[in-house]
Amino acid sequence: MMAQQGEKVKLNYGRTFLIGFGFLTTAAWSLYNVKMPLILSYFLPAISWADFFIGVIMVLDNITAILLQPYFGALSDKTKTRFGKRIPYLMIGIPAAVLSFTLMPHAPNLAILVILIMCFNLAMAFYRAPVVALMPDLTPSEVRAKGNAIINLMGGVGTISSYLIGAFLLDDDPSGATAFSVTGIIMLACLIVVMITVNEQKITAELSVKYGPDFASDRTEIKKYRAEDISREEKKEKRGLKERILNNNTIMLFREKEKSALYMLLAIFSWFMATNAVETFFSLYAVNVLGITAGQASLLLLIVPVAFIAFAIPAGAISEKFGRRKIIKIGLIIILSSIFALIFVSNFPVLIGLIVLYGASWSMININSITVVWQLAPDGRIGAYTGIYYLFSAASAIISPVVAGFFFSIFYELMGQLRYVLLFPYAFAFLAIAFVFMTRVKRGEVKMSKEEIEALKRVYEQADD
Amino acid sequence: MRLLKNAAVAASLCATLLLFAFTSVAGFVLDIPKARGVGNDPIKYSFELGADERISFFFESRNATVDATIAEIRLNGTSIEMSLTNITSYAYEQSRPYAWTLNVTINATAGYGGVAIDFYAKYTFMRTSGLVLSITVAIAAAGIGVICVYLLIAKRKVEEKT
Repeated sequence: MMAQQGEKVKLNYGRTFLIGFGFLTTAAWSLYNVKMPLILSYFLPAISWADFFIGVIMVLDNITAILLQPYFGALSDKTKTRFGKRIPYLMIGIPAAVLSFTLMPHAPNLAILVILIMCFNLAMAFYRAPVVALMPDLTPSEVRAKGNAIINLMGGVGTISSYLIGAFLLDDDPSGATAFSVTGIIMLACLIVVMITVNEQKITAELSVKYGPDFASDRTEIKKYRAEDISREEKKEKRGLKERILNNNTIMLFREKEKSALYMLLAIFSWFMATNAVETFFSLYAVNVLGITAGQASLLLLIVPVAFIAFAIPAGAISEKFGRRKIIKIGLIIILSSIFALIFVSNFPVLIGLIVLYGASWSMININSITVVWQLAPDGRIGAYTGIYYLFSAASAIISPVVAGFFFSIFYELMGQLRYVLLFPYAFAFLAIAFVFMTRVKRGEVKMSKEEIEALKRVYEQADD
Repeated sequence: MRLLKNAAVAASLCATLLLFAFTSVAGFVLDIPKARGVGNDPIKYSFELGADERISFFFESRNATVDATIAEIRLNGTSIEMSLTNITSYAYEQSRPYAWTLNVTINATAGYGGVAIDFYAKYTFMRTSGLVLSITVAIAAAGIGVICVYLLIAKRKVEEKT
């Protein structure tokens, strides 16, 4: 209301940083991904299928994400406690995750280690979607991109801390016990900070008074049409298992008449197909094609998160001015250009420049994409849509390394070690597909032009006919 | 109730921070310099490793630009095949705790150059500060978890009453 009364919507930076402490806890994954394959290998000496088993265990977190995060996200939308609807998930999930995480290095046998890993995956999946949905719940739509940049900044701080903890403590204590415990302490401290400083109900009440009760939802005229569409579709089916399946938030994406949300998620899936492959195979490309050492290759890869963090806040700020979809598309064009150039470049300084460009454009894409998803979420379903966002990104994390690996294997005979250069055409193709999907996304902005609104109204009206 | 909650949260925070401050990492490094791997003479070391200690190996060939081979390392008679050639440095990590005397035999062969190679084996022991810290953090996590669940249930009861 107030926003409509002329008051400029401003981001509360301090509060957003405090909310970000919740997201910082998810950086435990960085240490887990570095150390867990080694811990698993202690239990699997000289077994020919050890690598396969390690691969299966390491992909469990993505499988858990696909299966559980949309559910817990949607469940948190309906949760009502005096601690709010998201923080209770942190209050249960973080201690449970820390408990299993710190005990992992002391597992006496493989069975107990696998049980602890599954408990950890479950606990992390339990609060992942709610912790990410906490910021958009407590931030007006207009300034969410900037808010998301700060959350990602906190995530970046967590990731760097996690790597530093690994660098300093894993050599002294190769078991990982000290590093895992220190990470656990940080996670618990973050939980306590969030619990003490973030009062969901109080902040929601304050923002409702200041900006109106719909400060966190779509305020465009299209909202009404879409709500009617979803409600009509949900009522079509009789109660029962079929209804539950068809009314599932993910299935509903396909049933909706206006498919911006679906196209947005397909775009997300496509660009994660590209970036996951780059992350997985870049070291092999650098060592086998460029002829640099594995250490130099990992240093090059480290540039990506650093550039991402450095450009996160500017990426959020410019999208508020020029529109989220436009910035994502510009980001895609820049990342496509840098990927294309990487096919031909072997000069080290130029390579560094291109990777900086890659990281910066990645922040333009990634920072704004989830804010579009939140904007596209129907009222009261931010948690569910956050879960669906992770479903699509986790699916690509599972599929892409396998597909890319298969793609390179096909060219093994023909190209030998040079086959890894195909990484970039592979990534280019998926990024181009993502761009095509992005052009089909017609909503996702806080404000829309009259022409856009009219065009979307026609979509709903034609569908009704 | 609010006071109790804040006190519990503050106490948990202080407790975890204090535990962290008082639990330091203790370890020591045993350097065995100038262990010459000439011909097929194995380099043997014997030392005792407690159940609360862990070990990692690091090999670096010093003063050598030659090809060399470490064929195997034996830990209490269990052979770990290395099959590494042209070693300049290599790290092998064995972090499972051993509760008995550990006999380490390194079979190292110099390369065709016939040059004696100075192998440098660094054994790093870690005492159980890691274990103590892990248990402490796990207990703290469980404690905080129980407090959180209690707070959630207690709040719900208050809600139901009102």
